[in-house]
Amino acid sequence: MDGHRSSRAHRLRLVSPAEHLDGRPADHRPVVLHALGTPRETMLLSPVITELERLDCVRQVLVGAPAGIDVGALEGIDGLHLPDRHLGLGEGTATEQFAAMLAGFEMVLDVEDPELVVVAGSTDAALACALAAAKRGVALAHVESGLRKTAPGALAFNRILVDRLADTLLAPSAADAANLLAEGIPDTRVHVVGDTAIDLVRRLAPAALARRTWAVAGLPEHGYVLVDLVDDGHLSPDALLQALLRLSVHAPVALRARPELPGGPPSPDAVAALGRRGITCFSGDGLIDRLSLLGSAGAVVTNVGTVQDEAAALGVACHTVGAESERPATVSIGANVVLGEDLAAIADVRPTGLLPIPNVLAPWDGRAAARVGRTLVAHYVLAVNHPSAARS
Amino acid sequence: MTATPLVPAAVLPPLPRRATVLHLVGGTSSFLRLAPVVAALAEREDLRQVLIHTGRPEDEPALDAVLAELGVRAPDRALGVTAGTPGARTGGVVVELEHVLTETAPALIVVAGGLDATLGCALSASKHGVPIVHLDAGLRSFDWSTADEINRVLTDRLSHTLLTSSLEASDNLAAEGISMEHIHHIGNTLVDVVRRCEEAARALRVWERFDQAEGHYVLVSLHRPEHADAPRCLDTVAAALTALAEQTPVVLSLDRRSRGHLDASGALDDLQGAGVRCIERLDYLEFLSLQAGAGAVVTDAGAIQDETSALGVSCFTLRAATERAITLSQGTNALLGDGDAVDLSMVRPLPLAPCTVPLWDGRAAHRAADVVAAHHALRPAAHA
Repeated sequence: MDGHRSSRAHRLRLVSPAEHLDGRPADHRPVVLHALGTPRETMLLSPVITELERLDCVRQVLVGAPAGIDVGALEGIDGLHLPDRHLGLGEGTATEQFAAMLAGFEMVLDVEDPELVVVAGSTDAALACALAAAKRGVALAHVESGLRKTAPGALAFNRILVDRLADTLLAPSAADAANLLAEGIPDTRVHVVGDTAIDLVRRLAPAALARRTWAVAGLPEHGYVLVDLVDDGHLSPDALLQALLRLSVHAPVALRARPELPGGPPSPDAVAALGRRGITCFSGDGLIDRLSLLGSAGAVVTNVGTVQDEAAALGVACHTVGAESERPATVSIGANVVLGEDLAAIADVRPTGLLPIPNVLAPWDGRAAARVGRTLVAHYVLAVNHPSAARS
Repeated sequence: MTATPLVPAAVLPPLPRRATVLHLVGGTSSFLRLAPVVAALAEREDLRQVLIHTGRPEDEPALDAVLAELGVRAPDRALGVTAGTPGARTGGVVVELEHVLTETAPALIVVAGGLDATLGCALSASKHGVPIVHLDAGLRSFDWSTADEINRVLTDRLSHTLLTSSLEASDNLAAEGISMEHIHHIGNTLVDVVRRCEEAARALRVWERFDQAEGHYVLVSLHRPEHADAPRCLDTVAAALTALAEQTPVVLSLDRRSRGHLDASGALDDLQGAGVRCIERLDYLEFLSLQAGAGAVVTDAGAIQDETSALGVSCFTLRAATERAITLSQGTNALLGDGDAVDLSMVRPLPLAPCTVPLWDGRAAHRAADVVAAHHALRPAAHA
């Protein structure tokens, strides 16, 4: 069953003392290649990159698709790493971009010859990079592994395939690890580490609270309902509008006007009209602004898995639209309520008006990246505190 | 936040009367596995079946005689993706097949095998929400360093209906957490082809063309790139065959490239000097005839391991592992290993052993068609 490990053991390279070439020390540290396809992947991996940089025993190469490195979405991350290499992504359909990433990443693997490729999440970029790495026989680690929904969509398939391809699976929680074991993946490959994106949320929370994005629009602290929905093909824009108008009679509403909103982002006229009915639209997608709006909300209505995690970690009352939550742990600890598929239920959500109490259960303790770093070093690096680390 | 305007009914294209099933052909072996299923589905359902070749059919050996026997036509279209890195091949098929999926709006696609192109087809179809039927699913060599193992595992994971040729393959899938309702043990459709063509093939008596006596020669045919495209490895095999030729008559089937390698290194002269009969690639029926008349076959190809087990001819596989475990446990196959030292000392012509593999009876394609019809509502697409 475990053909993975036996066929790759020979690839581990012993880290030897630095040799000097042209007066510069040669970098003999193992190369770890991070694939950053989307802002979400950058969010998941940046704490890991920071941690590996701190341990200073590998050379890190960041490969990004241009869409992934929307710096505006990631402002405020100390020492945010911009990619060393870009995958030349042109225009085209999703499948054309997938094919381009697959071929582009193969070329990067040829040039960098990494010891390990790290991918995160469930995007096409993660799958393309994972597939290229597996075909080249390069070891693969998957951050945010093991999440499963009962009704899989296209992105869920990506995650299942990446899990199948990965040598080291880093699961946010024990429940996610159990999903992997049920698929016959040997438990020696599965590690419960926590949610690395929440590490970032914890680090940015003070800055987000200080930003007070909500105050600009005159919203009361902990007294408004944040609505952050994406079109998953089931949400009717009309029903959503009716529900929001009914909700806004009882509580101010902050609506995240993201491009994926059902029916598309509202036009300037619609924004003004909604504003008169007590619905404030926020169009910025900066991470700090987003966390500021979330952290000071009295309640949040969403169908996005990551928002459910962030709300649970910050302690903001979360209400999930849909038949089920893709983050069952948030439901079982009482941080998340599933509203069902009927959008009319949104009208009954009320802000708590209370200061949220952050949740520090295992996945959200802010130390996930440290555990990822330890796991990766233990598996792929033979010597830590290598002499070449001293040169800086 | 406005609703999408409804398209007036008159603008919609007329509905096709029949549902479309796409069959994805990656090469000779996958075509032969699919062909009986095409024929069986045509018998029981009124379908529009479209055969798509992912590469270039003209690169493949001719199959006209077999296809005429099965009543299946050559592929309707070719995607033309052949060259490049594994990623380029997979990506190329994903992109090209997308156009075909949009155009034909199939009710399902049927794939076979574990090529880069097979995975590309499965990825493309799953992104489009088209259910996938995987023929010969669940085969595992547990050697993750080979590309076809990766392709097979991922294609199985993406497939809705998994048709397996053995209970071992079904068990492999179940162990990966795939629920039993998707797994169907139907047998081996390539064996259907063998059973249909066996009589005609034996009647051809191709071994006589090469001056061999029935049941008394060893047939050798290598196909995997690590053998056929690696000069050093070919030379090692050639040296072992030269030694084998002292014990028993040997017929070596070579493609043009391997022959070129052997000619360049002088090994071809050694082989011919030792009495090894080096022949060009034959068409399918002729090669089946040569297999049927052989006392033993040495190969690395999956299809030949299946065919020899069906024919009852002893097979020796030049690999360290095979994904076709059933041919070891109940067929006629044995593994010779895959190292620098090629040891053919145990290869010798052996008497025929009747095939005892369950459901390798020549009726697999009908069971496959039954499963497909029972599990998929083969309705015409709403918009073709």
